[in-house]
Amino acid sequence: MAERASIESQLGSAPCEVGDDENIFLLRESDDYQSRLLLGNALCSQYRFREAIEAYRSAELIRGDDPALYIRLGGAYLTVRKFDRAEAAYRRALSLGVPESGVGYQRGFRLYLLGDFEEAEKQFRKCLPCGGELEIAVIYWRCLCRMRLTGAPQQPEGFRQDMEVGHHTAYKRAAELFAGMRSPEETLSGLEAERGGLDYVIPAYGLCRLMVCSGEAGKGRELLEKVLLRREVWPSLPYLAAWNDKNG
Amino acid sequence: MKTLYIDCGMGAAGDMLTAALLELLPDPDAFIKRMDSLGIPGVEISREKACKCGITGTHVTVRVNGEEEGEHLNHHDNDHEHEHGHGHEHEHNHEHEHDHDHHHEHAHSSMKDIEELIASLELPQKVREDALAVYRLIAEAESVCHGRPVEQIHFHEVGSIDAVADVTAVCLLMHELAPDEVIVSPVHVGSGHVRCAHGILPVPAPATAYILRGVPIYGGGIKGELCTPTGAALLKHFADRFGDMPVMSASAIGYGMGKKDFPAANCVRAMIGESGGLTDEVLELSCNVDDMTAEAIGFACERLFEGGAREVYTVPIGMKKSRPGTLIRVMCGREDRDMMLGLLFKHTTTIGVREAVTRRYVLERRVETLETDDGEVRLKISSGYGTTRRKYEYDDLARIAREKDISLREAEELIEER
Repeated sequence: MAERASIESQLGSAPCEVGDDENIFLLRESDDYQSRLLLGNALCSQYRFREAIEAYRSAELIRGDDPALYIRLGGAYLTVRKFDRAEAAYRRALSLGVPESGVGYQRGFRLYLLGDFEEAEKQFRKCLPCGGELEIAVIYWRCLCRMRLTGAPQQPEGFRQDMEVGHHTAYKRAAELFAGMRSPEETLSGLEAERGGLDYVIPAYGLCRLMVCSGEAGKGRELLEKVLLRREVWPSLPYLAAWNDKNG
Repeated sequence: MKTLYIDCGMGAAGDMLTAALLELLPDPDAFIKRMDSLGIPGVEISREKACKCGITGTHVTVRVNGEEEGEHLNHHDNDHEHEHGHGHEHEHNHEHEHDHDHHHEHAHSSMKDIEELIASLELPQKVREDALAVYRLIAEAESVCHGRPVEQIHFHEVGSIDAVADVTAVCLLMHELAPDEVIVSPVHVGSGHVRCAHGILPVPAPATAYILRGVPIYGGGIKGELCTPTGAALLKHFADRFGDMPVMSASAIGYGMGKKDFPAANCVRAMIGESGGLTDEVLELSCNVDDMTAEAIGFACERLFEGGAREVYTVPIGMKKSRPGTLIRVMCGREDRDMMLGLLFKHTTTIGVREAVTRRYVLERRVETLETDDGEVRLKISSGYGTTRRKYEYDDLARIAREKDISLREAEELIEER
């Protein structure tokens, strides 16, 4: 029995070969709102987004006034590429009082996948100023949006070497790459030693897009394929973006 | 009759019962102050409005040393998700999802600790006795479930200070409301499984199931632990009977909200008011016979009365093949059904008995004894539904009529004159 659902089971028609663990079993044993919300979260942790959507929808039948539920639901829809439903969930969260900055990141990514990079960049910008660790991720995606719009390398606007990035060091490495502080070769060699899936796909996807913008489309495609091999983090944003670039 | 009806269609817990009963009081804040001044160590009780499925009621919170029971449960959705709040980049998620529903985990207390604590509280003696009786029900249940003597039982859910507050609050509220009769609906206990300190247990939890022996309960369609041992013990202790809501005129209605949100409004509803009279449930057991003598039928009726039947009567009927027959009908309580069935099969020739459950509306009855020149005469007074009736006991009238050689009517007039 697999620990996490495959991308094919969530975006395609392959069977989901992940079973319930004890926690999920118990959460299914209670029909209260919190348990259903937690069930959705637990299923997301196993990458069982389709089932998570069912859990969130059943929670919605009990309480339709919790913005946190709709942010979760939107994320699950977004992951399985139900873009309209994701947007509806985010709009519902907005109507319940969540500020635009609260769902700007998610809505920005949705638009990125849909190829509307101009609007995506605007949405990402709505998250700012956010400070803390999120800011570096916003800088990363905004930079990618501008690369896609212009077809040329872009500076990571707002990036500072001394900014606080917390555990988002992979985003920082990518931003350094975009800013020319780190060479593509150096980034590539660093990637080869990288074991963590996320720490790989974030800078690798950034480098891939940079290569495409720099006239090295072949190398970019080659790297994209390598990103897609990191299946253990398939629901991560860079992976989904890479998947979208290839199949979307 | 001042009647309290408790609707447990979504189960019951100590805090829900407290909140529901609190809403029946004219000054709930005064009660909260009184509870806070009782001296339960570290306890602070508060009430706030809560809404479930569009219904507004009261939610009662018991904080012990500033911390609410199960407060840590709310940490599962921490802010660490930030950018990943939509289910991405899970390696950075640190949700504490496994922390849910640990509401059975508490510091342990023995029955002796509980007794000492309750004895130390400034409460009316009756309230203390009630609180201890409730705890004894729980202790007995825990003892049976764990296979240990009561002295060795260490309470978890019910032993914590907040549970003492819940039990005490309900006992004190009952004392203040002082209903003549407490009627509780069949209890919805829920279904599924729940994790507790001992592992994963079926719902209702064994202690709850034990306490609710003899009480009408049902699993219903909702998964979750709807009735806690504390709630069960409080209901069992205070209920005069379990059944449907009687005919009553409610003067106050209270909704005590639980913590969780379910597809149905998670509340206990309490209604207090005057019941116009009593209602109860009676069974009618009937059989038709066409091959018994009148003597045998008479004897069977006598035996049924002696066995505890509330009423036995016969009706002449026509049966198949044009045979004159007799319908024998016995009215009894549920508790006497088996006895009555045994007597019917033993003393009649029937091979089948029909059963009908019927609701009976009755007037409240009491008997006063009058001292007269002709001795004691009992006066039966029946009231309810806007009616009051008085009637002298036939046996007493008959005695006077015989002694004075007058008619029954004259005997009654004689007593009336005096």
